[in-house]
Amino acid sequence: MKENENNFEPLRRLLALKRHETPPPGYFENFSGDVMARIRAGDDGRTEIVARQLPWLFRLLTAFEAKPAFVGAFASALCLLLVIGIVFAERPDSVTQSLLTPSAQASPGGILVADATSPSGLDTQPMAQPDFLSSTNPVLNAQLASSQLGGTFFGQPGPSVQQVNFALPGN
Amino acid sequence: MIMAEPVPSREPEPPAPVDEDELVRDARRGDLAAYDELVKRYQQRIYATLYHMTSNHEDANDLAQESFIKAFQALKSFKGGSSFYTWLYRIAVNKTINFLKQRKNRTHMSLNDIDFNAEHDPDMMALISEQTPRRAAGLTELQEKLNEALLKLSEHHRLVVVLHDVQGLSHEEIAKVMECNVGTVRSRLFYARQQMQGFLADYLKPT
Repeated sequence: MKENENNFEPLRRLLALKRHETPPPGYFENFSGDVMARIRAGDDGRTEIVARQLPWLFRLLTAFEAKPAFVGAFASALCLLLVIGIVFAERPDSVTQSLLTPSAQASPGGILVADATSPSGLDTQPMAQPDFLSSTNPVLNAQLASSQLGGTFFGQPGPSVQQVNFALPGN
Repeated sequence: MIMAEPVPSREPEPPAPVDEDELVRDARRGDLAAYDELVKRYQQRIYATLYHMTSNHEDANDLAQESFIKAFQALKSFKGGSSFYTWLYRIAVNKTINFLKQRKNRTHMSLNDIDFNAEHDPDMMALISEQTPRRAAGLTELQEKLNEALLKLSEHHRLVVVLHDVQGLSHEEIAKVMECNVGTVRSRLFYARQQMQGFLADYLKPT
């Protein structure tokens, strides 16, 4: 062991250089004061952790502290986003609802088609499914096939044609 | 009326150093003045250890302050099983090792100046004039190479070298700080020194 220590003697002398590295003059005069000030302020070091790991959050919080008006603007923006979100959340619901609800007057196995030749107005009538409408999509093909049979997957009523009549002005 | 003779003015005697246990007891009760005294006692040693571990003054400053703050908050859990100094060291060292693991591969050295005494230290002069015959290395270059070599070691190996060869702690004290046995400390020290010798081969000449 003693021999090992001797082998490392030049290294130990070189490492002694580290003892001569000293912080700026007067550094330790303020050190304990800084620590005590942070203790009195209730700082537990989390601020530094946030600043180091989540710099964007730290910048945001700092901006809030510096400009209280920014807090109001941020809160207003959040409220606006919330309102927009609610409005948009309701709109697709109503559209989806109207699409999914089967009409009481629906005729089975048809597609809504307008008949422009009808003198009494615009009539719709079921259109036969032509063979050339077959798709490469197996799901769509199956849907088409089932609609021709008067139903859809899972035994639900298929998409239907609702006959509508409305008079053109002047007729 | 008899006038009292003027008492010759005497220099106030410096207050007797307060016992560490007493300071710890007072600090645990929330006495900030007592804790301030403890900070002043150990600030240099704690800072130096953290600086040698990080090779960065700003990081060492932050870590040292946070270590003292954490120690104050954890004082109630200090049972006195080890000395306050060892316990404080353990907090600082664990904090620093966690920090270094997070900072991995983002090393930035911010080295302190070498004090005036180094230029008059015979060992330092010998290092420049004799130990580096192949390179005209100044103290600053030597300092940079030394810190670079230290940063190449793993955190635990670096810590052992810093505590033993730079700070002068005994194997037993290091074992208490690192919460491992003395044999582990010795083997880590041996391995770390071997690595350092390899890194600094140009600057070392066997005696």
